Amino acid sequence: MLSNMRLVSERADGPAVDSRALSDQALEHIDSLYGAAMRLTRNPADAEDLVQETYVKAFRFERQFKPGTHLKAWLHTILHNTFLNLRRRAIRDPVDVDSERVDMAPARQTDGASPEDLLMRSALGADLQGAIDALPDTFRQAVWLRDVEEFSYKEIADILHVAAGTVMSRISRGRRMLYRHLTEQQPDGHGLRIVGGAGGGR
Amino acid sequence: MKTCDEIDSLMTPYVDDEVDLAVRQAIDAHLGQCPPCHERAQTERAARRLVRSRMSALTGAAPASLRVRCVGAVPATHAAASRPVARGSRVRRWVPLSMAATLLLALGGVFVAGQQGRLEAAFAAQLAIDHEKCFAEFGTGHPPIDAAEAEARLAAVHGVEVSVPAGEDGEQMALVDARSCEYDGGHMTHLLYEVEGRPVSLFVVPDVRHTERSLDVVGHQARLWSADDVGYVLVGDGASADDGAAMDRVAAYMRAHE
Repeated sequence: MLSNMRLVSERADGPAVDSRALSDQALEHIDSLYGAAMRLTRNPADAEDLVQETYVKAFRFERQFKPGTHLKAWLHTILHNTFLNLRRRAIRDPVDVDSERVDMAPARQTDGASPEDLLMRSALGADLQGAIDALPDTFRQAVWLRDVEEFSYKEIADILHVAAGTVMSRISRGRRMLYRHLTEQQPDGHGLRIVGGAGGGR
Repeated sequence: MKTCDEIDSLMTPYVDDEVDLAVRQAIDAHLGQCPPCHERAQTERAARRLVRSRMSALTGAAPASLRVRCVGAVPATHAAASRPVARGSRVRRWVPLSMAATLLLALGGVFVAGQQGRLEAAFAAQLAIDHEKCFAEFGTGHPPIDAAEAEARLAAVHGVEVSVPAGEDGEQMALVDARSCEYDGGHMTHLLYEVEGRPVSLFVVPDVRHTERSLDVVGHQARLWSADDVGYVLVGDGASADDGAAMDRVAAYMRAHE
């Protein structure tokens, strides 16, 4: 529907139409922003506030958007900045980036199955969303932006304000943590808890 | 031959298939010799594939209520009035509504061609968003205005001939504003009411025939009908059965006025 409106508004003329088109384009990314906001806040009410605040800022600062650059990445950058500001205000302890427990030890009891087979078997019916949400913030964000939102390393680096090399290493470790989380669920239902693992294994 | 340390920083682009052929071959050679790195690559690739294969299930739609809130965040200055407004008039040109109006224009031809139900629902949803935006800006608790005077102003200022249902004390229904929304070649009228203190909008759209129907759209109630080639869309807040019954009463009142 929004794209319909943009198509129509482009037929009209005048500067007001351009900004309308930008806001329409921006609103097309609401699902993507809401998904990212849910991963950041893990709470629908906070996620909605965060997305709304993101749009308020985006429309207020839309002159700062460079036409031709990636609008979705720009919006995600605002979303992350807004989240960090809100969290700073709330004086919540940030997750310690160095606190994750990932090592190079291979997963246990592979029965000769490949890691892929093992994961697919473990992940059948498993709560993948919960497992992703149980990752520490920095790793969850990197994996989400890469594998769900399909941003480039450079775009993720800009969104998260870290070097591209750091992005790659967070994606790598995040994927390994996710793998271990899903494959090390115990038969009795008690999964491995990752640091601060809210909503983890069931 | 690369070392494990050298492989470390290349693992993600390798798994993502974003390294060039020479690097890929060098990493393949290392992995053939190094079981831990080989295992690591397989592990990361498996996690990557799993998340990507479930991507659509992981990305839900934003709630409709959030959509309405964010559309409301679009500044009104994005759509400045194109012509001067009669000073002090309660009837104004209201260009932000042109979003709905342009959508209507886009749908105009298609209404005839089919898909009518879906498009009417989309149109009603857009009007519900406009209803939300208008009342968010206008507020509630305004004194009633006179229906005949609103009709006269709509005719004098905008050249729109529209029959405006008056408020009704007994029904606790007050007409609080009347606006005209311009689109290429026509005007849609937006009549703002307060029914028992709650905002209700009646959109009057010339040269459109709707199927008569009731819709729940983006957390709002909508009632559509037509009479004499004029389309009417009534929009009110709320999604409960009580809200629906209240809307039915208002719709019946409006239709009795035609």
